[in-house]
Amino acid sequence: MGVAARSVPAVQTVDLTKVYRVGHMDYPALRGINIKIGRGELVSIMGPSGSGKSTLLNLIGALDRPTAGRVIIDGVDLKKLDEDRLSLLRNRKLGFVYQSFNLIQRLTSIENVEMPLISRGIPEKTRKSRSNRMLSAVGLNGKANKRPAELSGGEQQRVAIARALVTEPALIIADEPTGNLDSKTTSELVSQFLQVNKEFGTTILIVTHNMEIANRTQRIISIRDGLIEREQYLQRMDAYSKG
Amino acid sequence: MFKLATKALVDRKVRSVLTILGITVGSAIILALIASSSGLNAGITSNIEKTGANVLTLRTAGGFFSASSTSTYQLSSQDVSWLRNQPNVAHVYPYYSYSATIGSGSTKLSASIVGIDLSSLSIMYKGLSVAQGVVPLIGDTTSALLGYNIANPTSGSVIGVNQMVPMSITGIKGTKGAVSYAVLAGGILAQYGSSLFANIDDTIYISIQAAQFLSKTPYYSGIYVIVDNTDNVNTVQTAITTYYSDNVRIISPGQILSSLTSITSQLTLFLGSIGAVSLFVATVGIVNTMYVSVMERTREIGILKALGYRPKQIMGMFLSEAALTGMIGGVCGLLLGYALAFLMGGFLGGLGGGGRGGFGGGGGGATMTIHPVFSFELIVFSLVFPVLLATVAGLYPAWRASKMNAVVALKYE
Repeated sequence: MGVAARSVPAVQTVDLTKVYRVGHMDYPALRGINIKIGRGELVSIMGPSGSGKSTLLNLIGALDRPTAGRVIIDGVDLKKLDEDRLSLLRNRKLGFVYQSFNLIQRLTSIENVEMPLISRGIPEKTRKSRSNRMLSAVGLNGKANKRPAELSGGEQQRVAIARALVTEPALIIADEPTGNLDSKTTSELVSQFLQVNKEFGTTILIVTHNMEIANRTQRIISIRDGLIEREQYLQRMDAYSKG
Repeated sequence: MFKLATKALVDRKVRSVLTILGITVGSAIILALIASSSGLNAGITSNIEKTGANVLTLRTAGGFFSASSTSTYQLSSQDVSWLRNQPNVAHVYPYYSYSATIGSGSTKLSASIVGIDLSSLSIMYKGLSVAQGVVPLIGDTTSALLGYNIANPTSGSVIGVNQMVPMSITGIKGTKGAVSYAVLAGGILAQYGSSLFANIDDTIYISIQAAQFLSKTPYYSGIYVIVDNTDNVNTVQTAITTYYSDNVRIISPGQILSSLTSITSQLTLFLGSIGAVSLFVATVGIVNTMYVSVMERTREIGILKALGYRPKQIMGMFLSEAALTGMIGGVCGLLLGYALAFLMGGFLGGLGGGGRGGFGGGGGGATMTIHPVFSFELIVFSLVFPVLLATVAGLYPAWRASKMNAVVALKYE
């Protein structure tokens, strides 16, 4: 990881604030978050329910707009983008992995992986070969034509990771990706994330409740009541060796 | 994108089929209607052209057009003389008409017998020609002219020139039951097809003297008046009406046309409104189906948004689903409508033919076959219109889908 590459962070937030208005009451979810995540970093975000984790993720994921402050993804300030450009940015620079997998049930694994490429208008042949490569990379050889219902939870999440990876994004956002999985599968999946991070150099942001997962990332950002409570850098080599 | 739409439709088979069915029925009815009514119009027009728009038929009052009339007026040679003296009248041909059967058992054939000046036929029916033999001369009371179907029946033996044709005649005034009769086949007419006044192919024409002898009465069944020019038909008709008042009925091609047109236009209106209502309901059905589909797939829409699908792409996806529904409905509607048009053609044809017994000087229940007309424009329209309608119906649901909030949609259970 060169110094030059680190000069433009993958993610940067500046005084990020989000206030939800319900009736006449304001509920501040985020109260000025400043984060800088370099390219190729593997960072976990921790915090109790209602701390603002999901809100932060939605803002970084370009799915929602902040009340105040800025989100800068790979050098692009989201504030300046309209709905169409935000969509394009999500498609080109971001990959999402959710707790509930969020696969389209009536499509096969490979079709699910192809989805973000279809939106780009990439020809079918290229789409298929790239998607197949990604399915292999996450260890799902031979499962390309299975539907989500025919796969285990761990396998479904691997399909979701392949889908997030297929566009070669600058950042993968994983929202409690192992929340629905048992501990063995969780461990395997975390190794998968570590491997992706190492192999493709993809920046990964994992929101988790699980301390074991957090301990295997390079940095833990703890959030409480809409503010950063603590930032903790871990030994990177240590993180890999546990894989 | 299109593949996704197809998959979405297949996924909800029953609902899709029902939605498509609505469009199919609606567009089939409208298609069949337009095709058969333009077929009917073409049929009527060609019949009028064949018969000649300048022929008026006089019948004594009573019967089909005036069942309520109590007039007992009879048409005789005096009427013929009076008519011949009217301005703009070119020819006057009185006639007798009866029904007859030829042969027996399975080869039994129904025919109309018309007694008329045989030289009148070529004047009244354009393009009519004698295929074999000759037109019997005036005063020849034994020879007859046979219609094509009489001489060449679908079952039974072919009748040649100079062959005796025995028959059984009914409907002679003052005579109860059937009268046995026989004629000599003097000439056989070429196939002509139906005309509004008479089904020439199913008619045996005998001389007026023979008919007069047969019926033993000086009173005619009716009189054909041939007007010199089509433009004068109304003038002549008015003069005749003024003279006879309610004692005779005058049947003109224009009148037949207008009565047929009024029947068909009412039918068209009736079926057309069914078709329109059906299409409207189908459209509402699409809106409903699409709306439910959008709601059901809220989460999927959220996923698509997260994956970077632009609002326009999501809208396009749902619109193509709607358009596909319309397209399948349109294609099915075209096939169904095609079949329906022929059914309807038979029905309308029967309607026209049923009324004919009353109009026809020549009697017999001549039927007019209606060939539905499928113009290129009609086919294109019936394929494009359902797609258009379905797309319009899909607009609002698709717009709703494209405007969905990604964060909310992703949380949707």
